[in-house]
Amino acid sequence: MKVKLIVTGPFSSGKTEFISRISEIDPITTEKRMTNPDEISKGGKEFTTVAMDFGRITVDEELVLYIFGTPGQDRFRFMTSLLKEGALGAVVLVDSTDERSLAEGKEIADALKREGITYIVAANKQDLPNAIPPEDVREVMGEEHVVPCIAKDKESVKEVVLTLLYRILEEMADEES
Amino acid sequence: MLLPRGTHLKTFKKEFGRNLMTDVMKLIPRKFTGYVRVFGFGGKGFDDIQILFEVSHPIAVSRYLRRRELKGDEALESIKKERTYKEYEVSIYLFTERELEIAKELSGDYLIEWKERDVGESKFPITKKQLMKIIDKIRRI
Repeated sequence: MKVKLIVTGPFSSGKTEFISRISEIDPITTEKRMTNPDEISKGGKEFTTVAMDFGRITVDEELVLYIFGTPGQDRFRFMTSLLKEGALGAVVLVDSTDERSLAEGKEIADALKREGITYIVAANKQDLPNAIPPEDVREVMGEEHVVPCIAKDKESVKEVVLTLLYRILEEMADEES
Repeated sequence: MLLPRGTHLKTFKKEFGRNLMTDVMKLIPRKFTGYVRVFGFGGKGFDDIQILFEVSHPIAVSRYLRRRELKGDEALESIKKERTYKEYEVSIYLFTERELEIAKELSGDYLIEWKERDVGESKFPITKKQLMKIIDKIRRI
């Protein structure tokens, strides 16, 4: 059985990095060199995901968790709708050093909420000195489930994924009661 | 699927009447929609009565049925009219497809309308057990 987990979020929030930390395979990425100078300066990077990132965690012979990262740029946002179909849940990654990222993350979170997909917000780049603390991210975004994240750190990424899975577990228990 | 058809939910003893209805509903998962069969036994003159509940949570719509070949027709009428309270042992099962067909055939006058609905599906694509396996795996990465 294949289960799908979505890692979504605004441009340059660290989705590709996040997946590469936890995937058992080298993530399959669809990165292309950026052409828009404004976005190069905004994100401080030359390459961006255009279709999806893909990681995998094999649980046992019958159960495999696939992790799909959505593209961050607006013009590839249609991929998000395709990828989240049938998903177990989603991590909304935001760049804690960029207030615009929080605003865009809020829009994505609202879209997930409308579609009934369980998600948490991961406030990434908490290792940077100008990072907005998770408590403030929670307040700014008006989101209840916000966790700190450093996508470069495997333990931090694991913690984020586990937090999401425990939230799903709680909702399953609610369904049963 | 939240619960497979044919699942035995619970057997319990309860006085028949409005309280039983309430208690039955408490046993049904919150998001369940579909059919539940309740077998009731016990109470003098009330043997062999089968009660079928069509469940549409949060408000249960009950329709009493009785297999025509079984005894107790008058008793059933008595229950319906007088709300006689008797202690019953009740087992609750979800319908299987075959039972659904039988119920349709036997419904007679007691069943005014039969709308077929699927057992409510969970919003999650996996079971709790599978989720626990994933959690365990992530912990060990």
